[in-house]
Amino acid sequence: MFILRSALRNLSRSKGRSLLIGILITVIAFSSCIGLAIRQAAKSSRAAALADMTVTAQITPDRTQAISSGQKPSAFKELSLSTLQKYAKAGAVKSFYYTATASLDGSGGLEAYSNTSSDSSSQSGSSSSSSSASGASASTGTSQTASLTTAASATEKGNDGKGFPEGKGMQMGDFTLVGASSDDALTDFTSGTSKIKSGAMFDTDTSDLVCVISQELASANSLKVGSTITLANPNSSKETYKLKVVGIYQNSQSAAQAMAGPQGMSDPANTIYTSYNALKKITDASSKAASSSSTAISSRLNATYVVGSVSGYNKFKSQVKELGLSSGYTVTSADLTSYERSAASLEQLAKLAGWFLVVILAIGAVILVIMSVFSTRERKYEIGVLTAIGMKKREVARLFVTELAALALCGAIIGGGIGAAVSKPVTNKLLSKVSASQVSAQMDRQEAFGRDSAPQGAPGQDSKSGTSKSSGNGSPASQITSITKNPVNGYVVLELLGACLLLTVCAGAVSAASILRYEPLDILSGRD
Amino acid sequence: MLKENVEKLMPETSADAVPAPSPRELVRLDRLCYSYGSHQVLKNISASFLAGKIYAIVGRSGAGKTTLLSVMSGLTDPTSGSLYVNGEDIRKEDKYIYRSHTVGVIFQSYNLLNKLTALENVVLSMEISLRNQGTHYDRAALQEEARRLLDRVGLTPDEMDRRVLKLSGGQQQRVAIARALACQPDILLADEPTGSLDQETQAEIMTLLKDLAREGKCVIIVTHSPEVAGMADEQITLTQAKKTA
Ligand SMILES: Nc1ncnc2c1ncn2[C@@H]1O[C@H](COP(=O)(O)OP(=O)(O)O)[C@@H](O)[C@H]1O
Ligand SMILES: [Mg+2]
Repeated sequence: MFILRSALRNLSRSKGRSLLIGILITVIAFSSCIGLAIRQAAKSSRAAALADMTVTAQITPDRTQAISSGQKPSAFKELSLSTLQKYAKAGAVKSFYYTATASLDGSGGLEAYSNTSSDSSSQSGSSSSSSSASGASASTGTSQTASLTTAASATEKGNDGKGFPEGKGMQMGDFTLVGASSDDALTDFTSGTSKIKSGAMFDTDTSDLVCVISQELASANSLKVGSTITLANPNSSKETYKLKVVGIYQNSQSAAQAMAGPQGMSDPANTIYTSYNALKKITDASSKAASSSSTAISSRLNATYVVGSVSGYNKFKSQVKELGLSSGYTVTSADLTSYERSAASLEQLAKLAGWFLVVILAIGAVILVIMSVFSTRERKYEIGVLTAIGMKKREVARLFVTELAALALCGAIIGGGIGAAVSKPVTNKLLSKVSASQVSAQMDRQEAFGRDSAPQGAPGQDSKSGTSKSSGNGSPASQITSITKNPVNGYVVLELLGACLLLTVCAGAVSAASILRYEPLDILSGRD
Repeated sequence: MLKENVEKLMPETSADAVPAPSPRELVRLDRLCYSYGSHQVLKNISASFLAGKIYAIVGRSGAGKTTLLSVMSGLTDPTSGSLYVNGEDIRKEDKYIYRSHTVGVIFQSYNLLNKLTALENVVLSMEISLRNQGTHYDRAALQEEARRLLDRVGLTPDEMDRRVLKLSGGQQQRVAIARALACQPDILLADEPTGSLDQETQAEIMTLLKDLAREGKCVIIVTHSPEVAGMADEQITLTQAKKTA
């Protein structure tokens, strides 16, 4: 009490010195608060996003591993369903579903849908034609007149089935046939992107050749629920399969969103859904009918493990290792990857804030220590008098450190208060700068590639694979560009107080050390 | 407890002290030497100081008067020889208690805390003394006591609440004396207490110190004024690194 009272009295009697040190600490506290707040914003938004997210995982061949180990890419094949199912037994897996995707041509008058107004000569769903269309639709906002184009044979694509990384032994047809193992596997429907408009979704356990087609495809070919469509092996038009339409869906995702990418792909309206069993029936029949395995309809398997959370994901990663997953395969999560991309600018800002914090605290500590050294020297006489009239050096040191601590507390409260008040707008301002620079970098790139730089243009995402629930796929539009909550919480306050305490300890220790060294005799006789 | 201290500090009427007891030896120097490094300033000083008397330490500038006072005020230990206070070797004493309780020092340059008021300087000294002794105290009572002390050395209430820096040299000297008395010491050490004061103030200060001696304190004054030395009961002359009686 005596010490505190004396400290406060000394502070009030030496206003200039108090103000100088106080302002320094306030500035440090303010800057630290902003830095801490930005880091907290990144942390909170990550925690919130990940808490809301149902994390799913996939097992895929590790391409980088394959390349760096010098092995032939083909050495790592897609895993078979039975192997994938084995990993589904891992404890972390909440549920497991998969889709098989095959590419087929239309037959018996079934034409692929295309919304391109320009005549797409030989490239069906090619990047050039579809992206120009998307640019137009994005800029005008009016829907394009649907028109039918004759799809060229996908064999023109020259896919030899061995190419890497794209090569999956899949021939390119006009239609994408997706076979789902369960309702969960129909992610476009579970996410609400697609909705059944007439008829009903088939039972995913069925082995009947039934399917659900898009509204666009239905109207282009005058199909109704109950109609039958015929699909053919792109390599052999004589090999056909009939599927009964049981439902017609509407996809709310615009073609532009799904299509403007570096890779050409067919219009999502040409995606036909069926059950996994039905698709299996078709591929099995095809491999029997085809002359060689390379001309048979092959499907690409896409298995999804629902692991729920990030910790579940990490558990899953180690569990599959225990279950014997070879190092040639890797566990990935499309949801996490897409989140990471959307949080990139915030994370980048948080990283910068971290460095900023370190620099501020280091510079602050140095300046404060120097100021403290000078201030203690200047007060040598006072120290001499106090010890000469019997005050213990320890107590004098405590008095001086208390003065510093009181200033630090005031500085922390004022600086932290101002920091807390402006941290949200400052974070958002900085965030918009970071995002803007990212967007412009992306635009530059698009331009360099001669592509339309419509902001909607997302780099190609395998939207039909059914693995990615989130539409956030690295497009600048889905970047986190602002925070809505003030990031300063109790944790930040504690960190801030901790930082100020650290500074006080540094400067106080230096001050105390010199106080303990001083001898009153030397000071009072004016010699030192 | 405080009351008792106050009374002991200020026996306003010396009328009670009728039978003069044989004076008690408070301080004894026994072949005391002091050196700053290799520079010997004090050499074999032996002397005895009794309670109730006033002593003058005289000598040329640089003779080591201030140095002797520093040793006696517990700022530093003698290099060799001994200093006994109340029969105890100073080396064995807790220096902080000794400084804040046993001796009161009036430094050559007052050594007051300029940012504090006269009153605060005195109260601070009291608080330090009582804290060192582990005694609880009431600040209001201390302030009252400090005001009485300052009043006794001749400060007006207005001057008591003024920052020391805004007081004249004589007033500062009075505050320094009040502060030295604040811890109710048996021994009062004063380094040139009248050095920079005018004749009249000098006389007033000397009267005050004499009064304190009469109250039973042992007052030791360093001075180079023969006038002041003449008022002392005993004179000790220091010559450079030589002892004289
Ligand atoms: N702190 C010190 N360090 C070294 N020498 C000192 C110190 N203080 C005093 N001296 C020297 O000791 C001698 C006596 O000084 P001092 O006691 O101040 O003399 P006086 O008070 O009699 O004038 C002087 O020669 C002075 O230079
Ligand atoms: Mg001197």
